[in-house]
Amino acid sequence: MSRPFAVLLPFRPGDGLAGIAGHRADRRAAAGLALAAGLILVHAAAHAATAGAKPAVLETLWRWTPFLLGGFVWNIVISALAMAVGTALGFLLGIAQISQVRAVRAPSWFATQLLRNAPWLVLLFYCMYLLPFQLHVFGTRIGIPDWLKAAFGFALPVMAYVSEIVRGAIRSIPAGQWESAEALSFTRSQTIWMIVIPQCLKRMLPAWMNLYAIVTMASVLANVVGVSEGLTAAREMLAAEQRVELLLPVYAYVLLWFFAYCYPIARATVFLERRWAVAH
Amino acid sequence: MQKLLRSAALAIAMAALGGAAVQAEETLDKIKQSGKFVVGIKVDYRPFGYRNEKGEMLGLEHDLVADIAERLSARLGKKIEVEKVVVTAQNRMQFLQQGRIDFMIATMNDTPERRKIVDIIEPNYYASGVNLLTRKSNGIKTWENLKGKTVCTLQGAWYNKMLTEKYGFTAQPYAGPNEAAQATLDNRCIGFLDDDAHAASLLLGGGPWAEFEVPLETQAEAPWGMAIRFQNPELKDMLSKATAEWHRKGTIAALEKKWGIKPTKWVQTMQEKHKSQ
Repeated sequence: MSRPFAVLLPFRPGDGLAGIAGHRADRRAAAGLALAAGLILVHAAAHAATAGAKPAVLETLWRWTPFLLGGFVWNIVISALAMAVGTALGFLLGIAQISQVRAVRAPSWFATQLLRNAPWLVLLFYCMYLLPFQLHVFGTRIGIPDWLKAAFGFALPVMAYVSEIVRGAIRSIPAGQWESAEALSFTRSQTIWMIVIPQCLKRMLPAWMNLYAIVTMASVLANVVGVSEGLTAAREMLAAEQRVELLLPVYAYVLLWFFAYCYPIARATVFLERRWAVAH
Repeated sequence: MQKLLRSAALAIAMAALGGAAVQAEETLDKIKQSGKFVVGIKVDYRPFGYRNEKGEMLGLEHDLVADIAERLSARLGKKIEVEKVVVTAQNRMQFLQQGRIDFMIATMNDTPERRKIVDIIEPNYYASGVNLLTRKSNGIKTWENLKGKTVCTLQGAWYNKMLTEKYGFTAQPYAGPNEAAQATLDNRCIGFLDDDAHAASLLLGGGPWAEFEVPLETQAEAPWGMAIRFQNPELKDMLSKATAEWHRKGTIAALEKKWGIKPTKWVQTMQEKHKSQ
């Protein structure tokens, strides 16, 4: 850290308690604004609609809420499953990337780069149209539902991102840790699993949570390939109501659901980042 | 890298085909064995197929499927359950080919190209044409008035190319009827090149549509086809007879009334034709 020096440092948010409090208040205000903006949008449209004899927009939204939520649940299921599978595979891939064996390191680097730089929608298309919709195992048919295929499609990029997060975190552990472990006659795998990885977990968690929020928001892409989820439900609702004045409020409503789900994750990420920040 | 991707894709595709090759059995046998009639149907096209707020599927085509299921139950001598798979205009043909669904009734126009891919049931069960949903104040009277104008259309509609070439307007395609209708209300185009049945149902809704009309002579009237996979003569025969009976008994006309669709001339003509047979 810097030595004491007779100068008045500029105020930085995050320095001291007052700074943190101010910073948080700012963020809360921003969140409140975003929420209010969404609601106002919904309200304004509602007023426009009351001119006709039809039920108000808000009332219609309320009536359809269980249905829309039923769709939104699939976004959570798909993204959670994609994260679970992608994290497990990505973790192994990330460790393989720092392997001392070239034959392991090179292919895992290649797989990571390939999947990390491919558009998510393209990977999703591949999974949707190339995976069979059912498997024949010992004469019985086992159906593979669409949402499972979509989850697998999202797991591929997740795997690549997790691989990079793991590799980066391992690299960020100071060389001194490795050297001390070696001096204490730990083997390489003992060093990785007992010394390096436990320190990495803290560093990886904020990035990982960030990735989760991104995957949740990206899961609406499944709508494009015909998987039922929140946006599909919204579109089906619009088709049923056939009222164009609902178009914007319905999309705003879906946006609010995603915001309500993802914003706390973003807040928690910021909190953990600050709490576990490593002083250098 | 492209080569690698391509060979990987090929390998996966072959694995998928391997799974599909087992589908060679007759659909009717499969239905009898499993007791399930797997139907590809739409829920984004009111009043032909849509959902209510409980998520239940309903509409004209859903009623027709219920009727077919009853006929199947009677014929196969056991209760046949309908399993509905929601399809869209983009994936319906593929689902049928893959064997994911056994039967498709999804507001699909019967075209020669499609007949090469799936087996379309004759006679057709419905027909619709294309018209323009436009503001009365635009004063559009004939198709020729559209020359040089921008028209909102639906992505992937088979008539887009034909009509733009014929009448010299610019197509502005949208993903779905809701988006295209909103764009039309926002005056982003002179009108919405819409299915006449759909346009009529929007006008019935009133509200902002009170200032709109459907002024042109309906073009490109095309029949709609239900479809199954090839080499299912028994099922095809059964479905053909069912459709003929619908026309004869006026089932379709009754359903039009039930779902608030303006009676179409095509349905009346079919009814007269089949009655006289």
